[in-house]
Amino acid sequence: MKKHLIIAIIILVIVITLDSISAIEFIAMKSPEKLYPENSITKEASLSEYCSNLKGTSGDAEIYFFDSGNPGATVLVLGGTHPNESAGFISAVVLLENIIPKEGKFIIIPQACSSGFTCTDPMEGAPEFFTLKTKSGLRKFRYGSRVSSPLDQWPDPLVYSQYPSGQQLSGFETRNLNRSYPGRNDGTFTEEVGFAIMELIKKEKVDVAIDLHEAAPEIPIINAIIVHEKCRDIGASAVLNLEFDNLQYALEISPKKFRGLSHREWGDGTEVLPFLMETSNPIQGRLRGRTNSELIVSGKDEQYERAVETKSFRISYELTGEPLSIRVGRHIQGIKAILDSYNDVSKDKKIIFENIPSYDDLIKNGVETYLK
Amino acid sequence: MLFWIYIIIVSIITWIVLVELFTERDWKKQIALAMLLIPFLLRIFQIK
Repeated sequence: MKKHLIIAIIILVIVITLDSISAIEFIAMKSPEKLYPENSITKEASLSEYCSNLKGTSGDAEIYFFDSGNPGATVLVLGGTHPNESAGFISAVVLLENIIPKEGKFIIIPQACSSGFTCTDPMEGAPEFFTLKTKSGLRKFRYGSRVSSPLDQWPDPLVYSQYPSGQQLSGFETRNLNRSYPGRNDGTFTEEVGFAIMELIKKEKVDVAIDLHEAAPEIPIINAIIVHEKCRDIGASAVLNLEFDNLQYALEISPKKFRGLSHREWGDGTEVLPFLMETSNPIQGRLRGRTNSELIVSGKDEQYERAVETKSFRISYELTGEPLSIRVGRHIQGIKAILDSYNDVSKDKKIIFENIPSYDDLIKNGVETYLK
Repeated sequence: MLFWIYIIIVSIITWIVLVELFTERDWKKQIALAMLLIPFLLRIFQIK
């Protein structure tokens, strides 16, 4: 056999070996995250029950129901709308692994954009996982992409025309769940996920819905609660109560002309009172340096420290970092404040629950203490 | 339909690269061709 043919065969074997190793890693990213709901769980379902087109796809996100059995309000908590915003996902996991409802019902979707958890954003050097040392040992959690995987929805148009408004956004946003509400039953993959969540809100008669997010430290909307105008008073009361806990949040009203967002479309299209919360997450920032799983957990970045010290930017970044425990603590305390304010104004329906750590608990003991 | 057009395009490119790999006589160029093959094969099998 000629020499170049032997080399070609050897190289081909190496290629197949490397592909097999890569394939095992890539396929592992698609295996579902193992979560451990509190014993108070009453039902598990998935989004395909509300949009059958999602059956068997990676958009068929898990839904966990915690019904107290006593009359009261129904609350939906959504984590992982953007799978690269880890505090939203982990806050939802803390809730589902601890919550004991006493009045009313909780519905928790920890990985709303489950497709986005199967990949990472290109060109960001993002890690695929991060680990936390919990009671049961080291637990691995997925770090994902802001949007649905291109394997589930492709190609992106040059311009994304939001349904039904016709609002034009960059093509990439066509896979952004938080630009795809109210969605449609026979729309794009991401629109179907949005449609399923809207249907869930309607069919389960959800009273309060909270969407958990994060953003880069340089984005002005961080450490904020964004509300639909119909629940402005509840939002204002929650922000005031959080101020008493020495936690500062800005109250933002959902822009009426910016379509496709959860707080806008849930509020306009259903009876629910929608809220969205943001925390400050350095791994999403443009100034960040080394991008690894440590940055997700510690939230400490030298480049942001420099930016704060030199007063180069107007950013919200603590020199001690923005650790996951603080970010989750803010979300959990924010949820408590919103629901306390809801209970104050709601005469007939309340939501009462226990066994959820406070902000101080999370800071003192670390978020991993409250994960199984 | 777009999905199948995409798969056909990737398959054709992979076939061309494979043919080049076996006809090329310079081993350095063969390695360069091999590096191209890795992502193309993963795309064909819809892994990445």
